[in-house]
Formats: sequence, C-alpha cells, structure tokens
Amino acid sequence: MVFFRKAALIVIVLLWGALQVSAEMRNEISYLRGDYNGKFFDRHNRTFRIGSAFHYAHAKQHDILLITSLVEHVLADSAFDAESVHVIHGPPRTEPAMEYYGPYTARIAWRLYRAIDWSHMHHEQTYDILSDNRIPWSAKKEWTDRAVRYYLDKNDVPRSPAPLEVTMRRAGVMMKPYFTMFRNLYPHSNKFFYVAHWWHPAVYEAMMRGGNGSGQDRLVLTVDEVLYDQVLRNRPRRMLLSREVMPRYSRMSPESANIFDNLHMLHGIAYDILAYGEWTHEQKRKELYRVIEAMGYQPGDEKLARKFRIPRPEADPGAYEEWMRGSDGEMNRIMMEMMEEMLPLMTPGGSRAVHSAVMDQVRMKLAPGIQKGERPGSLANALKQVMPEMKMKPHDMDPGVEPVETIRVMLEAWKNKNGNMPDIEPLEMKDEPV
Amino acid sequence: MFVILKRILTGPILTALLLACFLPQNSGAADHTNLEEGIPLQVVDAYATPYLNREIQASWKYERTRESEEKLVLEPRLEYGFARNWQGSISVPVIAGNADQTGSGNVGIETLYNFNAETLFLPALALSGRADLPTGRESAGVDTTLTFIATKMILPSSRFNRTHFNLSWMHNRGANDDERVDRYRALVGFDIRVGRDTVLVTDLFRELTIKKGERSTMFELGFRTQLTPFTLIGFGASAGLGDQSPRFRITLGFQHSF
Repeated sequence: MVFFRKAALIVIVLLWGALQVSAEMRNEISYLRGDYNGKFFDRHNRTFRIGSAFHYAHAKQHDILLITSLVEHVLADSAFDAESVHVIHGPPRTEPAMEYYGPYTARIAWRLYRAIDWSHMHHEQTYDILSDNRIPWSAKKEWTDRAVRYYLDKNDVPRSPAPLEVTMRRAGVMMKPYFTMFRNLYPHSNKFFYVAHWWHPAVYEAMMRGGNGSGQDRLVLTVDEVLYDQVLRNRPRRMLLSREVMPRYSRMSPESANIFDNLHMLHGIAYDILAYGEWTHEQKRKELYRVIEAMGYQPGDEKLARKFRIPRPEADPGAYEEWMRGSDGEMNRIMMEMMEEMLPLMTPGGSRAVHSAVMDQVRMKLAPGIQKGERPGSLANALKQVMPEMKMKPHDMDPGVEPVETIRVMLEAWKNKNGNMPDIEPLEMKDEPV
Repeated sequence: MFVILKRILTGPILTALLLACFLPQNSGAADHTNLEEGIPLQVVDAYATPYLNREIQASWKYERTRESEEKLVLEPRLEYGFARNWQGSISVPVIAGNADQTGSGNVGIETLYNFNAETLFLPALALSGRADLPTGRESAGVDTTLTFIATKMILPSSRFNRTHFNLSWMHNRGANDDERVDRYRALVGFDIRVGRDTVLVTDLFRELTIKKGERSTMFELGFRTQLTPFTLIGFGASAGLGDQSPRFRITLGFQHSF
C-alpha cells in the first residue's frame, strides 16, 4: 500500500509536469457579479432568447465548417440556414456556450471559444446594466466601465477596445488564402450572421433611446418585430458596425462598441479559416490563435477607443433603412482603404487599369456569394488572377505567420491619416430619455 | 408508493421554499454540462467550475438498501472556483431513515484540479481530493478520498457528448473491525446533449463497500436541465446489480450560481 501511494504520487507529479508544458488549459473565468445580473433575461426574456438563438447558430457553424467537405458547401449552407431560421422562431431558453453546439472545434481550438464566450459574457453584462431600471440613467456609464475593466483585465483573451480600423490592420488577414471563403461559399449563413450583427447593436440603441422606463420595453420589442418582419427576410449584405447602428451607445461606451465589432469580425475570420480546405487542423489552429492575439487587447488600446467617426448620429434602431441593407458601409470602407495601402507593396508602379481591376475584385469579394465577373476562390486568389505580377513575401500567406511589413505599412498609414482624429464626443447621460 | 414519494419530495420542496426566500437575486451561470457528484449521479467530469464562480448545490437521495431499509440523504454543498482550473467545496450530508446513519453530519471538504483542456487525442484530466471530518454520527478519524478523472469525447459527432472515467481510492481512518481500511470505486460514465437545455447522463460503477467482503455495482441514468442561466436541476435513478448492492436509489439535485 505504501509503495502504491508513492508510485501514485510520482505519477501525479510527472503527469502534472508534462501537461503544464504541453497542454492547453481550460482557464474558464466566471462573470462579473452585480445586482444587475440576469436583468436582461428577466425583463426582456424573448429578446434574451433571440440572442441565445444567434449564439446557437454561431456555435454550431464552427463544426459545420470544420467537418463539411468544401464540395458540399451549397447544400450545407442552405440546410444550416434553414435550421438557424427555424431556431430563431423557437429560440432556446438559455444562452449556450460555444462548445455545447460546436464540440469538435472545441477540441481543435479551445482558445477561440474562450475568446468568443468571454466576449458574449460582456454582451450579457452590458445588456443587464441597461435593462436594470434600478440603476439610475446617470450611473449607467460607470457600471458599464466597470464591466469593461473586468472584461479587459480578468482574462487573457479579451477583444481590443480599439476600433476595427486598427485591429483589422493588426490582424493582416486580407491577403491570407482563406479570406472571404465563408461569405462567398456560405452566403446564406453569412447573411444570417449579418442579421445578428444588425440585431445586437439595434437592441443596445433601443435601450439607449428608451431610457429606464416603459419606453425601453416598447423599443426593444420593436427591434424584435423588425427583425422577424423585415431583416430576416431581406438581410444586410455586409457586417454592420456598432457606430452605424448604435451611435448613442458607441458614444457612451466606445470600448464596448469596438469590443463587439472586434468579436463580430473574429467570428467571420474564424469561419473563413475553418472553411478553408487546404490546411490541416493544426495549421488552422495556428492561424486562429495568431488572429486572436493580433486582434486582442493591448495595454494602451483604451486611448484609441474613441478614434472613429459616427456616420449617422440619429440612426433609428426601429427602422430598417435602405443604407443598412447594401454592401457599402463602414466595414467595406475600412477594407477598401486597407487594400489601397497594401497595393503599392504588391504592385510597385502598377497601372491604373490593374488598380481598377483589383478594387473591383475586392468590392465583389466583400459581398456575399459570387457576383458576375468575380474570380473564384479567396480574395488573394482572385487578385492573383487579375494581377499575375503581384508580389507577396513567400511565407506571408502561411498559417501562423504575421505579414509584418504589410501590417507595419497599414498601421503607419492609419496613424498618419487618423492618429490626430478628434475623439468622438462622449454622450451626456445626465438626463434620461423620455 | 405514496409514502416513498412523500419522503423523496419533502426535502427538495422544503429546501426550494427556503432558498427562494433567502437566495440573493443577483446570480449568474450554473452549467448543466459541468457534472457534479450526486447531481444527480455519481459521475463527475474533469473540469473545474470557472474561476470566481460560486454555487449553492443540494442533492436529495432516497435509497432502498439491500436489507429493504430506507436511507434518505440530504447533502447541501457550497462550491467556489478559488483559482483558475481549481474548485473547492464544503458539504454536510444529513442522513435519515431506518438504515445506518453513520457519517451523518460529517463535514466534507473537497478540492479538484483540472490539468488540461481536452484535445482531439488527449482527454481532459483532473484529480480531486476529499477529506471527511469526523464531526458527525459515530465517526472516527479523517477519511480521505482521492479520485482520478478523465473526460473525452469519443463518439465522433457534432452533438455534444463525452465519456468519463473516475477511479477513486477511499481511505477509512479509524475503521471498525468489520470495515475496510482502503476501498476503491471504478466508474465509467457518459453524457450527451439531448435538448437545448438538457444533457442525459449515465454511469456504471463498481466499488468495494465499507463492509469487508462486500462489493456493490450500480447502473445510473439521469438528466441535468438548465432552467435559467443561474439554476439547474437534475434527476437520476440508480439500480443495484447483484445481491450485495442497494436495491435502488432516486436522486434529485439542484445548483444555483450566486
């Protein structure tokens, strides 16, 4: 028995040592406690459940992409879109973690799910704070800032509070061989998530316009009705950004606005990587982890949080306007700008005709599905066809490799153009909307 | 039958009423996929509760022993994620009925450490250690339990499912003459998502009982359902296999984050 105990102890120590060196840790962290916890669930239960339905779809999409062969993408896309629409009409009672509906991906890239679940926790916190009518309107920002601080400090996977202009440049994904695969090959599912990325900020903005009282209930209900009656039937053709749909909330908490944009962008990039058929699981994990790190919080990012513009300060979350539906908007503007910055590196002295052909392909690639005249494959593949002389560093497209020079050029360009941009104005929260 | 149902349900109903009066309203996420011992089955998974999570847990067991005696066990537990990938808990089982009540009121202190997240090839592994202090009925010495836990998705599927293996070594300090000093339990368990908010759980375990010369084998089946983001319930039924095992057991469990 004594021998058995000693042997067991030695095995335990060796196991612990081996695993500390080689294995990824689970590292789950609980949510921030506050009296407001659960208020979104209590007060706006149907809306809460719609959010759960979107997260169901987000979770399951990972496994579908990882497990489905590319040749089956058309059927897989239609089938899963139909399933997602069905679920949104009969949504789950509680919010699922990503692993619950995407268990296979959890075993390939656990860190991805940690980043997503942690950011979904921030969605819950911020919805709860706005929903809790015991928190005076003038105190909403203070409580939201507390939640932001917890989100940024407690975990090692938070999304950055810097705007997408900065984090997309840091990620350097546009010329990777997977970029735009998901939106081109799974257009129905892609647009379903564009609906989600309209809905999330629309709910925040409805709460901001409604105040603490019954106005909030009415406006949140309106958003849900618009979702079912209009947005699901005629879906946006781009990812709408926080600043477009929730301008007031973005002024009140620009950190949260950018965190959510960065989360929503991470969803899209992760789906691109998982959909890409030429890499092994290990290669996909490498690239996913590189992107998670690149778009993650860096100390000091708070200073960049207000460096964006609000295109439509009076946007109405209860109205599904024409400008919300098309491909042209802030997200695509950012990416077109990045392409302009990258082009001199790829085609020094390139002609106007080539430039025009390139930007046309970029515009088409950024839209869901395949457009007339669009070259097949990822954005990089399409550009190689219209620009055969394109120069790329040999390994910049490899999994896990950061295209250092490209990122440097883009960040410098952004800093030169926008580094001194005035911060967006904070929103005065003294007076509650009536 | 009515008497049995009354005995099974009285404890849970009274406790639920009590908790409803005193539970803090600020609460968060209990997790129906994080299997806890006795809620409602024996099997545990290799993952600790999230860091900084706090939960009140309770289980009510009704057991018909091999000798047709009745054993009711109410076990409240407080659990806390005190460090990343660690959890600690404190529990006090209260035993009633006409079966042996030895150990009723013994305070149990337990900790679990999860070594790693599961990968495609590597299971999630954990170790838990428990000390039962002799604070209760007819108890002597601090009894200890060490459990090795492994969790792995084996069925290749996009439906959440996991197989678990628990191997426990229980040391009975201050054993009586007719009691084992060391005993073991080996368990294989499985859970699978069956609904949006429910997992089905099952396990089979064999153990050396505390009485020398006896062994027990039980098969269990149950479910865990998330009622709200903060609260879940579990229900399980256990059947004894062989003539040295209890006849059957019914368990109701409850978890609430606060």
